Amino acid sequence: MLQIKKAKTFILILLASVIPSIFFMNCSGSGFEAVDVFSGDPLVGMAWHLHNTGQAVYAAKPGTAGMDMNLLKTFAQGITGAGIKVMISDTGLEDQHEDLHDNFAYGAGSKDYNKSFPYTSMVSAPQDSTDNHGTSVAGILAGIAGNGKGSRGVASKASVISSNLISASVTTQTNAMVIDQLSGDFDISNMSWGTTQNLVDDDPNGDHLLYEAKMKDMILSMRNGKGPIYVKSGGNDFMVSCYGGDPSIPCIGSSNFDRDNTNPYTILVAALDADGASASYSSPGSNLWISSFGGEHGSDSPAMVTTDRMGCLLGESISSSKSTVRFELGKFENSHCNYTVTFNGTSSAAPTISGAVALLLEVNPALTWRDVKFILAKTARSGTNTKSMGHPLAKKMPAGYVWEQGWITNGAGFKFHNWYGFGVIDVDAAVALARSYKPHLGTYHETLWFSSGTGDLNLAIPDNSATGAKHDLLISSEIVKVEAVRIKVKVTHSAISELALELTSPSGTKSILVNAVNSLTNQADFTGGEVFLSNAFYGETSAGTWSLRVVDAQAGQTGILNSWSINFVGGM
Amino acid sequence: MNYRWVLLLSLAVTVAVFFYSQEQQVVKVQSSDARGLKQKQSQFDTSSISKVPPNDNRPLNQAKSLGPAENLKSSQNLFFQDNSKKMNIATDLRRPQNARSALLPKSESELQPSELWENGDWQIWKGVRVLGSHDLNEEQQDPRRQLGSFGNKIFIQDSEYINNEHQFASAFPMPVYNKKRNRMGLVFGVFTIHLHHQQDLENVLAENDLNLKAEISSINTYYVEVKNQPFDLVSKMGQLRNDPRIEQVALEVVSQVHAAN
Repeated sequence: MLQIKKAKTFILILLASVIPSIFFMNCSGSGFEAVDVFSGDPLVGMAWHLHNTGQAVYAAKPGTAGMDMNLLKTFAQGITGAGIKVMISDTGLEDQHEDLHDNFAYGAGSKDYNKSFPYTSMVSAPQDSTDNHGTSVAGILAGIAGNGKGSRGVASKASVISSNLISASVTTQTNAMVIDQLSGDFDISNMSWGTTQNLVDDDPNGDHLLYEAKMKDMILSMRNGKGPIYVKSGGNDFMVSCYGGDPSIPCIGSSNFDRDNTNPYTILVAALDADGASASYSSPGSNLWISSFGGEHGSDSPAMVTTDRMGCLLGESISSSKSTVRFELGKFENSHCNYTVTFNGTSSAAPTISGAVALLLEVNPALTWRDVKFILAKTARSGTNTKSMGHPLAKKMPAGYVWEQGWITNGAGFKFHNWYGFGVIDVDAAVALARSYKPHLGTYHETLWFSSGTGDLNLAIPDNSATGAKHDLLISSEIVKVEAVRIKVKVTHSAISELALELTSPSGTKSILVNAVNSLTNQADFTGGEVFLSNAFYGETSAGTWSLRVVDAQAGQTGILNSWSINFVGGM
Repeated sequence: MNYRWVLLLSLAVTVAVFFYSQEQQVVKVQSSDARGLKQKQSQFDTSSISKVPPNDNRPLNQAKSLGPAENLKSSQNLFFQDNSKKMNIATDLRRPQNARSALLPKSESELQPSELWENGDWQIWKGVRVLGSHDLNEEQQDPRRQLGSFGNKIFIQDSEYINNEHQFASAFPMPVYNKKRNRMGLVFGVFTIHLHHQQDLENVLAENDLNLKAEISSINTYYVEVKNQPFDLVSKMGQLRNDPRIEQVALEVVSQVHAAN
C-alpha cells in the first residue's frame, strides 16, 4: 500500500514538473521557442551558406558542416531586413519573379541606363537575353521566405530596387553611369561587378577621383548623414590573363588593381567555398574587408542556390543547358527553371553581406556606414593559420622573400589576411553587437596625402632581391585612429608586374598591398596616379614612422623608386 | 504527504527545463526535399565539365582533392586553414577566369595622332570599326574578322573604315590607344566639364547643345554628351574650352569594362 502511495506521489511530481515545462517550450518570444525558421521554402535545404549541414546539393563532393554565415539565432528572432531598402546595381532584375516580386519596391528609385538622365524607372528588368546575373544576385539577398517557393534570402523582407548598369542592352556604358549609380534612395547598394584585374589605372582624366568624390558626397548626405553602405564583390581574378599576353596563360590578379576598389567607403567581399576555404577564383587584396560564401561550380563542389529568370528559355537554368547538373535543365524540383544551383563568384558572396547588413540596420537603424564596417570586422571569424605562402604559380622568389603572409594580428588586435579580409561574416555575433552598439569611432577625417617630397628619391630597387628599396615617412600631424590607409607610388620600371609593394606601420604591422609577380605584365612604371589601399592597419594610430618597401622579385629588369605618398582615413 | 516539497521540486524541474531549452535554441530545418538529394546525386555524371558562371565560357577542370588542413582544433578554426587547396588549383594550370587577350594594336602604323589630345597621350586606332554585338552583319559575325570584344562592343578589322573625329556619333564609338600606358580605350563622345563657381548649369547645357549624363554637383563637375549627332568632336572640345563659364573640359576615354563578378 505504501509502495503504491509512493509511486502515485512520484508520478504526481513528474507530471507537475513536465507539464509546466511544455508550456515554456512552446511559449512565443525570442530565444526559447522551437522555431521552424526554414519551413515553407522547398529549396532552402540546399542553401548551405545559411545552414551548412554538409549537404552536397548536386555536387560530387559535399561541403563541411558548420561552414556557413552563422545566422540561425538571428533568423529565429524574426529579423528579416524589413524596412531596409537595397539597390541591386547589376544587369537589372526580374521583378516579376515569384520569389522576388513581393519584395520589389516599384517606383522607388530603380534606374534604367537606356533612358535619359536621371534614368529613373519604375522597374529595371532584364532587357537582353544575357541579363541573368541581377536576378540571381537578388535571390541570395532578398528571396522571399516561407512562401512555398524556392529558397530564401539572407534578408528575406528587405525591399529591393534595381539598376541595369551592366546590362548588355546598355550600349554606351560610360564612367558617367558608373558614377550615377552611386546615388539614389537606398540604404545599401550591392555592386556585384568589377573590372578585369590585370591593369592599373593612373586615372589620367580623373574619372576615378570623380567616382570617389560622388561616393563621398553620398556617404555624407544619404540616410540623413549616416551614409549608405556600399557592398562590392572583391573580384574573381585570383587567376586572370596576364595583360597583353597569351590569354590562356594565367597570372595572379588583385582586388587592388580595380581602381573602384581602392576607396575607404566600400565593403569589399571575398568568397569562400562550402568548406570554408578561399574560393578558387576569389581575388586577393589588402583592400578586402570581409569574406562570405560564394561556393564553387556546383558540380565539383556546391555553388549557391538562388533565383533564376523564370521559364526554361531564359536565364542560366534552361532546358537546353549544357550543364551536367540536371537541376539546371529543369529537372527535379526545378521543373519551371526558376532557380539555379550553380551561381557562384564574389558576385554571390557580396549579396550575402548586403543581406547581413540589412539585418544589422533593421536592429539598429542608427548605425552609420563606419559603424557597420566596424561591427563586421569586430565580429568576423578569423583564422589561425599564420603560415606564409609561396607564389601560387610556383614562380621562384628571391631568397628569403615571403610572397604572401598568413593571418596577421595588427597593433590594435584585429586579425587580417589578404585572402579573407578580417574573416568570415558571423551574422549572429554582428547582430548582437549591433543591438548593443555604442558609437565610438570619433569624427571622421581624411588626411591630406603625406608625400616623400617634391624631389626624386632616386632609390634603386635591387633586382631580384628581398631587400627592396625602402623609404620611411614620419607622420606627426592629422593623427587618426586608422580605418584605411592608401598609398601612391611613383616607380620607374619597365616591368611593374615583377614588383611588390609592402607597407609597415609604426606598430610593426606589415601589409602587402601588391604581391610580386602579378598580372600587370607588359606595363611599365607606376606614374603616381594609381592608388592602393590596405585595411590591415584598422584601429592602429597613424602617428609614427610608416615604411614603404618596393621589392623586385624577378631578375632582368631594374627600376627606381622615385617618390611615394600616403593618406589615412579614420576617427579623430 | 508534504505538498510543499512537491511544489518546490516541480518548480525546480521546470526552471531547469527552461534554461536547457534556451541553451539548445532548437531549430528545425525543412528537410523533406533535402532527403531526396542523396539518392538523386548518384544519378549524375560528375566526370564531365561543369557549367561555368556568367561571362566565363571556358571549361573548367575538376578541382583537385583537398590538401592537408592545418591546426584543426575546433569548428571555429576550420575556416581558412586549407589554403593549400587554392594553391593546388593554381598550379593545376587552370585557365584564368577571364581568359581574353588585351585588345591592342600590333604596330604604330595602325595609329593616327588626334587634335583631341595635344600631348599625344591617346591616338586613334585606324582601320578598326567598333560595333554593338547585336549590330553585326553576317560577315562581321565571323570570328576571323573580329579582333576582340570590349564589353558588348566588338572590334572589327576593317582597313577601309575611317574613325573620323570630325564626324562622330556615339553609336559608333572611336577606338583609341595610349602607347605610354599600353592600353586601349573607347570614346563615346562624353565630356566632363568643370564649371566655375555659381554658373548656371542649365544655361551651359542649353547653349552648348548638351545633355546631362551624371553630376557631382558638390564640385561643379558634370558629365555631358552632345544632343545633335553626328558632330565634330574637335570643334565641340574647342567650343567648350572657350566657354568662359567652363573652367576645365576633358573628353572621356573608357578604358575598362565593368562586368559581372
